[in-house]
Amino acid sequence: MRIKRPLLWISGWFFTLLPCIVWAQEAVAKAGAYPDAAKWGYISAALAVGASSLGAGIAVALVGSAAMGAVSERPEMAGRALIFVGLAEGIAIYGLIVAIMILGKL
Amino acid sequence: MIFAAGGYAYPNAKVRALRSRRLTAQDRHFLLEARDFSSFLAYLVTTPYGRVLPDLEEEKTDPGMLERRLARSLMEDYAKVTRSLRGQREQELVLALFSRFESENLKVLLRAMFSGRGKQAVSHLLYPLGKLSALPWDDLWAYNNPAKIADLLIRNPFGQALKHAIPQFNVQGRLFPLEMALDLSCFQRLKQAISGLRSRSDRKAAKRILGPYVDILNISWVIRLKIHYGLSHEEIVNYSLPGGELLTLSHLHRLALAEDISSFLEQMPRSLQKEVGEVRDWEDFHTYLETWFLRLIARLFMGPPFHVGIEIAFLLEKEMELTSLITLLEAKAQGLSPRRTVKKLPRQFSGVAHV
Repeated sequence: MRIKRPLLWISGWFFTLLPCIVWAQEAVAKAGAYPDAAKWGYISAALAVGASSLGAGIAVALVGSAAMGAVSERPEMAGRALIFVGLAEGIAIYGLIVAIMILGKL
Repeated sequence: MIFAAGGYAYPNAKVRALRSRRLTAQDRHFLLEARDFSSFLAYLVTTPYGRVLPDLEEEKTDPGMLERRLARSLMEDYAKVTRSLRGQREQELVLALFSRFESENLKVLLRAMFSGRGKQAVSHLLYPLGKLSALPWDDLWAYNNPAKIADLLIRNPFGQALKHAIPQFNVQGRLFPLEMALDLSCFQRLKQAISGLRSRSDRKAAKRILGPYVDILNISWVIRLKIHYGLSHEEIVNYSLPGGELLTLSHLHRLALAEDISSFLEQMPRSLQKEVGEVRDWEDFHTYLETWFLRLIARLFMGPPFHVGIEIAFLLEKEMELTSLITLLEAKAQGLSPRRTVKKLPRQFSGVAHV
């Protein structure tokens, strides 16, 4: 278990970043005048979406399980618990907005 | 931190939701100030404990039966908390704490066997353990000899403890050695469960809450064995529970040797002296120590949340609430006034009535 967790983390990050690099290289080939700007722009946009989705996933997992724990004993709290799950989900949207803003500048 | 949060998000939220079902200040006030036993019961069914008292009308003449019915609420919480925990070692800690109730039922069984009574005659004294208890109760009730019970439970810590205590039981001809062996085996199991926890923060939190709890029990036992049983100080120390935090063996020796309350107070650890400084009667010690312990629990709930201490603290807090409620129930059944009853309750339970 001790070895499994870091391995999961590393492989998770690897598979998140790998497509960014591949897509960024294709974009660089098309970019022409400012190849570096386009390359880093695409990498940043992908990172923003990838990392924020990962963060949102973790947050929803934690908040969601806590919400289920509370709702199982006090069903009247379901509405309030959903608000907090929504807040956690919002983290992914922030990343998406930042990525759109970056892509808009390219 | 994130892994601890992942592991404890669900049980923590569940425990806090369960904790919100404690008696409110208003409940405690009305229960304490109830005119008589029947108005006490009439109010009790409107509290969260009303859920476990469905056929109250038939049983309201028997406080003993009601006590065990009320305990069903605690047993259900034990089952819920155990199920909510993900790790096997954390579950084992809760089950080790739960084993105290199994031990109580085993003691009832032994007493019934010793006095030649059947299960029906003592059923009102048994805790409703439910499915959480894995002991073969039907088989146990079928036997009529402690040695056979020890053999049946040989793979369980209770069986080992009984087996070791049976020679003493045979010599003394009384159940005391067997009962003490059962109690000691529970706390030995608890100590092992704490040291078996994986995370350091879990071990620290469990010790922080269970250490003082064991200290309180040890002090109460020293008083009980000294005053009521008249045992020698060596025997008293021999029967002390393992896993305390503040009380060392030398403290226990000195407490067992103390002749009166003032010298007993002087021999207590300094951090406890200020908590029990106002005690003037042996019977008040437990109430003062319980008040101090409930304050520790409240402080734990305000600290970092992601450790097993929260679950343990909740279960002990609930148990103490139940004990106070039962004390109140008995006081009302005997017609004691609120003023006299208050002295037997921890301040957190009785405080509101004085405001």
